[in-house]
Amino acid sequence: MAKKHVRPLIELSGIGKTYAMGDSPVHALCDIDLSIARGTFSAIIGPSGSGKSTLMNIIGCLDRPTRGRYLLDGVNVAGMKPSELAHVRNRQIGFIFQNFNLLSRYNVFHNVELPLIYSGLSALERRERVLEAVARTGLTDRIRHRPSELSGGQRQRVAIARALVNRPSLILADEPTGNLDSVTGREILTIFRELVKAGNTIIIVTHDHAVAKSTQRRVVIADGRLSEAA
Amino acid sequence: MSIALALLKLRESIITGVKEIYYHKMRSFLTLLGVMLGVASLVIMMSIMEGFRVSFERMMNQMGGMARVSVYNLDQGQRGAKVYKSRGVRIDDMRTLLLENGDIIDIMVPQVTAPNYTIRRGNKSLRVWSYTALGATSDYSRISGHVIDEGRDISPLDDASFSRVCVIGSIVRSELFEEYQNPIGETIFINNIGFHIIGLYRHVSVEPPHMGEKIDTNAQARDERLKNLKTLSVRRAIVPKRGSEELWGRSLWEKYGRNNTMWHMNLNALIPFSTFQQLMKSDGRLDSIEIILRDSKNLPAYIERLRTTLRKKRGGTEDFQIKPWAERYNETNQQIQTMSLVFIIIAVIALIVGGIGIMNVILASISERIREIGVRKSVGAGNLDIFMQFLVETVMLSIFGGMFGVGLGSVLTVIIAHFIGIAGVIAPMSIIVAISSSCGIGLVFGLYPSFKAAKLDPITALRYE
Repeated sequence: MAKKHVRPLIELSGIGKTYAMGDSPVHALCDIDLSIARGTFSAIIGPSGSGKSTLMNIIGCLDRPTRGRYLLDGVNVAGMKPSELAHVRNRQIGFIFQNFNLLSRYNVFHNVELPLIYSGLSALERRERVLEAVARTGLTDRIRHRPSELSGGQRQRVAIARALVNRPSLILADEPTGNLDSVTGREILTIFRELVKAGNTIIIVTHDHAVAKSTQRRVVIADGRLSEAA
Repeated sequence: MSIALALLKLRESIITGVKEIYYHKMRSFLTLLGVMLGVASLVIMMSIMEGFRVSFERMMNQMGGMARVSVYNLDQGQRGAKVYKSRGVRIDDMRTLLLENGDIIDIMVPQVTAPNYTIRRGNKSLRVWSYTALGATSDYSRISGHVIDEGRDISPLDDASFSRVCVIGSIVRSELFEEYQNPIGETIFINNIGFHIIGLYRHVSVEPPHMGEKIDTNAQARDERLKNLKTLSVRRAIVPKRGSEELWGRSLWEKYGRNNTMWHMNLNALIPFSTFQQLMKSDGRLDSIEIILRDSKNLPAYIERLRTTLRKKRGGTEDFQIKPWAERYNETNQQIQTMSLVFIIIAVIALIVGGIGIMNVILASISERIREIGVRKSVGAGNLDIFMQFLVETVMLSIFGGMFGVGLGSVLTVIIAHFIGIAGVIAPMSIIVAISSSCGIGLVFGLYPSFKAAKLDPITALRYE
């Protein structure tokens, strides 16, 4: 499937990130080269402090690398201004977080609608897309509920619907099963696999090898350097 | 970014802002309370000052307007030979004035009054403080704004023949007579001297204008309406009581003055000037000479002419004072303006306090909503989107505050005006000023929190616990 496209979705080359902590610079990432093809399900595995969060933030266009080139869908996003990055996040990337990060005062519908608010779609189009995304995650009957009225698995499904709603080219999941019991966690991973089958590209960031096993490709990060895992 | 997209996003910001306000009803209400009270005080102060001005203007118009000039004795407070030796303003001053300045004088009336006097009929009596003239010539009605309702006015013949007749105002009528009685032809006693009633003055009323009422200097139509209204309240007021009763001062004000800034004009009994001189006070001094000039355009020059005439007659001594009403008008207007300015400054301070209140709450809500800001940014909200969201929220809050404030201010104005018996005109201007200033307050005090929210780093914000 990946071979259909000549150009991979993500191409990182020579990416580095250095933080200035007082006098001594901290190298969070060193010379990362990574390419991820469209329609694949990958995992970035690493313990805490390995730099995996920094890498995810850069891939997710939340952060900018200090060095290197990052082509997302053929466009170099490494040197973009924050406002351009916001636009890229809105159109290309869907985030799923460990703690769901839903807005507690908004019901399911409005939570899922959130990315569309910033994309300038009409209310009618937004409604259609929200209903579609909610249906794909099986939450149609919960659409007027608030997050506090939902179980952990349902909340994460709301987050998945929110990540899907803008039809992004990349879905980034940061420890998506970390706050869930193992049964619910497996359900979420099943949803991920279905999404990949439907043509979505998903990257999971995790420290849990069991979770990573369900992916097609695993990349290990340690001390800011990447290595391919079996 | 195209204009259409910008508008769409602004609309979304407004919707989000309203949602936020709605989701936190209590917090929002407490937040806008400050602006609300600030705006309310602005409306109240502007309205009451406007009411003062309007009432005063009406009073001025009713009593001869800008062309009216009064010649008084020097104040008793001004000590010195001039006051002690002065013979005062006298009737022969009027003759001289008329001889030399007949071309500029339209009406001239001598005015005398007793410091206080009693009007009695049977066992009912009224003590009248010298609000208005007791003795004057036949032109008094023209200069004072009185109109004869029934019977006739005092005529020059009455004045010439020292008649013991009088014309009474509506309060005297309703206090001393039953409603079914016709007072004309009856006798009343002023300081125990009997007078025949020959006429009734029409009820004089400058009621405090009501909300939304158009200011109308020709008050005749309203007076008609009010007369009907008054008959009702008077009927209640004159339930006869046994034994002697004497009403005066404050209790009369309670009864008649609450809704009528000119109520005291109804508490009078006017007798011919000559009769007054003959029976009550014979030293020939007048309280004042009231003059209406032909026009008010050359007022300073005309007044100078009057002054010169009187001074010449006194061999150069100026033991009198000439007060043009225009001066009084300007003085009062200026006082009203100064007071308005002070009030507005106070109200603006209140508004600023309200604005600071909003800023504080929004700042606090930002640290509560850091995660939310992170989420919004992660799904594609730009700095401008976040900035607009918070700014719109602040502005909406203060506009709501402004609208509630206008409501509260209007209600309080009506209540306050009723209780202190002055006019409260809710000027449309005060509403426009109130709404726009609250909007401005929201903008100004929303800038800093909104900027702070917009500048948040999405990664830090998402990680915030």
